[in-house]
Amino acid sequence: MLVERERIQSLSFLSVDPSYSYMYPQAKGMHTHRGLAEEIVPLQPDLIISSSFTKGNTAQILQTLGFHLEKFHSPTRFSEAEDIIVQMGKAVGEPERAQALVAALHTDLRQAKQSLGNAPRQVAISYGPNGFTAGTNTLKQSILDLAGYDNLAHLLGIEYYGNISVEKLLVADPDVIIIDESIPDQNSLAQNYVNHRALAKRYADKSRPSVATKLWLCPGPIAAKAVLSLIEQRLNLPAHSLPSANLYQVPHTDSP
Amino acid sequence: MTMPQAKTINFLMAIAVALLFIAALNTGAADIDIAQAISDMFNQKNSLDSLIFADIRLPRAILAATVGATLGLAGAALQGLLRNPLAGPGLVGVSNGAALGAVIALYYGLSSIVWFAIPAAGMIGAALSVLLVFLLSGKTASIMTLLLAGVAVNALASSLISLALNFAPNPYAMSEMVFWLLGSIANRSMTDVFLAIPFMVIGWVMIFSSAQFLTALSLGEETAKTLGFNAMRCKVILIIGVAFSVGSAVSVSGSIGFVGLIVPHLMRPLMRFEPGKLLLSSALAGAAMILTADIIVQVVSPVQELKLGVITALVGGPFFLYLIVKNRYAFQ
Repeated sequence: MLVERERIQSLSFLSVDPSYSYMYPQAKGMHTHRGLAEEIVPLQPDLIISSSFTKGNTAQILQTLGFHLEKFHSPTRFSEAEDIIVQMGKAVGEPERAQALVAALHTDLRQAKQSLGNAPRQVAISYGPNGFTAGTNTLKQSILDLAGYDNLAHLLGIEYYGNISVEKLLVADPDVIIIDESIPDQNSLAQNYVNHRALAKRYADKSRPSVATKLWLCPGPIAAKAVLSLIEQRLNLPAHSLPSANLYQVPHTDSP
Repeated sequence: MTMPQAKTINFLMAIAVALLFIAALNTGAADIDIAQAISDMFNQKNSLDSLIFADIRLPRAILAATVGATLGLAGAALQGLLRNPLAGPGLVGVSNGAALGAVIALYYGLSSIVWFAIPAAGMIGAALSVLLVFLLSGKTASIMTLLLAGVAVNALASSLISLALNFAPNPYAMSEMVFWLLGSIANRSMTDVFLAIPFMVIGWVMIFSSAQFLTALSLGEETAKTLGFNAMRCKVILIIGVAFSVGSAVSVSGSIGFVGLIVPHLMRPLMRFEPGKLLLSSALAGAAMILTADIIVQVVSPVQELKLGVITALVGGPFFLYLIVKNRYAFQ
């Protein structure tokens, strides 16, 4: 989004996976790596962009070898996301494009606020395999907040990421459960959490809108699309009979 | 002092299992009213309490009792069949063989082809490993040979489990290795109960039908034959019974160690060393043991739940050492 394709030598292997990457059509066919120093060194890049999640020793080795490495941490608020877009724009020498992205983000968020209007706040939670959920200091909290929801994980005191059992979730009884990532045609014990019969029963007779995929993970400009998508889902429900409980599906995106 | 009758002991054990079952239903993250939940369930009222009771607590308690019963029963059957006090589904590799089968069926999508793929694959895995151990340790196996055969089959099965999980096309597969190797019945639903229990019950019936043969076998294979038993046929029934029950149990619970080893030892003196009578009491004691262990894991660490195998190994490990010390002359 910030630079031409030709200027990118290699991307994370996740960026070509449709279920994790919003930009995967653009990333298709590009060179990918799995975060190993051995893969990066032969490419002799001018700039390496890494996150604080990147394998620690890879970043260290690359720095020791004298490569220019810029580290970005994952934002937990939209304002931080903006800062990172601006910094990244500087790092790659495209500050104007970065500003344009930030402006687009603002437009999306303004539109979100408008369409939400005076809809009453509800309690929602993102719920993934293994009962995984995102609490106070996460971008998901901001996404839920801007979409007019109080994050149940935050109300339960989860500060970053955490897990809650199906039983606890049922007792907390949120208005909306946003199912985080569903992998088609595959089974694992982790996925038994989101497919649990008790959840299906509890939320069965309510309408179950699904949100456009691959918007969650991205800490950048795409996250605003998740807000829009959630609001759209909510407003399309019959206004007079707002269901007391819904299961939403939200898909995943990779970092920009 | 005279020893109490086997029937009295079994009756007391059954009461203990029932009480533990009720305690298990009352254990969990939420504070629910069980009586209210049951009445809601029968009145078709879809309350939160009845939902948690019927779809979370009940399947878990049922699986704790039945998986425990299966492991205790299979332990007693294997110890009788192999005439070896150190046999047990965990130690001779049957549990891990079953887990391997279930892993392949679950992560490689076989379960979306046929609904019973996971327990079926578990049973095949269990059958193959019990057969392998049986062949390896042979008719006149010493404790040592059996243990070594068990170690080998176990090592093979657990490395194949990690191999299968490593290459599974699922991002969660690898992190679930702990479940398969240590066992848990957390987060199970009625679907799992309906899937596993029919096969477990078939296995139980086959094992119980061989009770008299096991008692005769304790006098030696020749004696059993002169008493009119078709030894080959009886052994095959026992092996299939163990494979059915352990295979389907492990396919929903993972491999929980030591239950099948300890339980028959605790019950044997009470049952006056009759392998046939040992079966029912070992099943009851196994159920009591897993129900207890499952209550402990929920109480001790409610957030990041301990695996059942951790608790059973903490009890079973020292007990196993004790058995080795007690039997050390038998190794020479």
